[in-house]
Amino acid sequence: MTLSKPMKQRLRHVAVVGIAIAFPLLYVGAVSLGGAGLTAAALAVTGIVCVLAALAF
Amino acid sequence: MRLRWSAPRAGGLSWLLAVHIAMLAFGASGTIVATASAKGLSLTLFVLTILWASVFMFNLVDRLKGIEAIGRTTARLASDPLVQALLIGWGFSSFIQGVTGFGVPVAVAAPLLIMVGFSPLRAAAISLVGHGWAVTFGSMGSSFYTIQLVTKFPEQVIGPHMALLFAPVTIASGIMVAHIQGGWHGVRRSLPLVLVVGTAMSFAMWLMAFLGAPQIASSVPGIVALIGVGFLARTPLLIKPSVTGDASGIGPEPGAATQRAAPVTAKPMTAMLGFLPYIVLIALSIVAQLGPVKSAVSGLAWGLDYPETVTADGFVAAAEQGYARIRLLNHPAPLIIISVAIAMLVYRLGGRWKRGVAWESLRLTYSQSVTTTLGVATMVMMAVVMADTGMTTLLAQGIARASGPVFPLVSPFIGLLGSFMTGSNTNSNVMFGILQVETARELGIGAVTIASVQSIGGSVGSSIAPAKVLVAATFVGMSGKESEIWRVITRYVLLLTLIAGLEALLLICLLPAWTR
Repeated sequence: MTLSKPMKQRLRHVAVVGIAIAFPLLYVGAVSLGGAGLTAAALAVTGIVCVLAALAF
Repeated sequence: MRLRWSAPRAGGLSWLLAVHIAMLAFGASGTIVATASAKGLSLTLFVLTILWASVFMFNLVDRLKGIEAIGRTTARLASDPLVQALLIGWGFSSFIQGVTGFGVPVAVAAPLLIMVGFSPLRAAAISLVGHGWAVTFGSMGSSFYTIQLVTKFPEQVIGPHMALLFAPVTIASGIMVAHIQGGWHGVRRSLPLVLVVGTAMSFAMWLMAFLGAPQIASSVPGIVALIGVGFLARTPLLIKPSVTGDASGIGPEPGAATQRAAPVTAKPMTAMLGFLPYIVLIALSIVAQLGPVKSAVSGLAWGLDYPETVTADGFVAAAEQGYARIRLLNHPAPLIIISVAIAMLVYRLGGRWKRGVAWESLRLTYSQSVTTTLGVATMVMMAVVMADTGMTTLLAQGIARASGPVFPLVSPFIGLLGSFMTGSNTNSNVMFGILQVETARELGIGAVTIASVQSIGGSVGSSIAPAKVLVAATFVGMSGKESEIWRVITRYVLLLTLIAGLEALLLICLLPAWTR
């Protein structure tokens, strides 16, 4: 999959924001509250960040 | 290297793969994987705050022409090409590595060497080989903190131990710089100087690690090298006068004489002012280790607690209290920020300040750090998922069975491989740090020594990483001729790695009690 340079730049910023959101979400979901739904959402966000990292860098 | 993936791409896909394997084959639940990933991001935050702060400080000083001033002053300290090679390639580039990273030492030192008359190939090779020893404790200790955090060895145990193991590698790096500059003749001429200065640098590295200031355990030896080589090179007792030209086999220095005589333009900043934030940082790092200061701020720390996790296969990851704790005056980032604030005040009062330079440096820091940030975050998450679900232990058992008694010799080459693949000592330590220590434990040999040589291999090995060689080639005007640089530096880097392996092997065979 080939992305244009400006699109890659945009996705890089999204990935940075995504990882900043994923951290508290993972902690709250898996450790603080221990909710299965929140944990699954946190893992989904982290997974999306990883896919974005693979596409944009 | 057909599959030239960036660190974020490799890390992102590896995390996805590790999560799937952990859940399908190692009995890990979603909660365990999420907890391990959060732990990975705790570690990432600890390391990246150091990196962001140090790169910002470097960019600020660089934008105010401080680095240029330091470089020009360094170049003027000597007229002998051998001394210049040691000063710039071994001392200055290592100091720059101590305070920043990302290939900046090569980008700064190699053009400086060309400016004083070195050929592009020799300039690239000297700066790449000369600063390799400084990478682990470089970037304000970020690679060191990574190996320390992933292996969980106390800082005061692994720091001085690693610094001692670095000593022969540091001295050998100086000898190799002399060899690249002048062949065996250059080595014979400079051997007493390199031995004396290299020993002083090694002592400085050990002292900083011993005092609990690993964040300056590369920059301080770099300064020791600049002062030591700059002043001791004036005594004929320590460096013999030059009698022949090139003996290294790399080739002559075209236009060396004319370029060396080139006038130095007026500078807007003095070298001393350029050094200022680093001097303040060194002073603060030492003050922060004083007993009363330490106890006064001991409560000012931030770290998350993590519960024990047990997979369906029975693998236990212990509970953690204050995991990857960031202490106010025991973590480099706050110290760097205070140093920057003091330097900014002095620059403003001294009329050296440029409007908008802080914002410009911040933007540059962000753009420089994005790839590393995502690369480190995804790789550390992957490494912790593997460690906390039993994958790393299983791999370590396999390596222990396959390598047996020669493992200490192989260990730094694994570190080198990690740096070559990822372009970063930090990433290498993340990828292989836990694995190496688990393997050492399987074999019942000194795990601290193995963790140390993993990082030493990663440190010197980063010099042959494609990313760094590309930087060197670009800055010396050899784009497309990277293979020529590789051809020259690979033998030196492999030899440095072998020295680390032999150290580990000898220590583990002869002094096993000391290596635990």
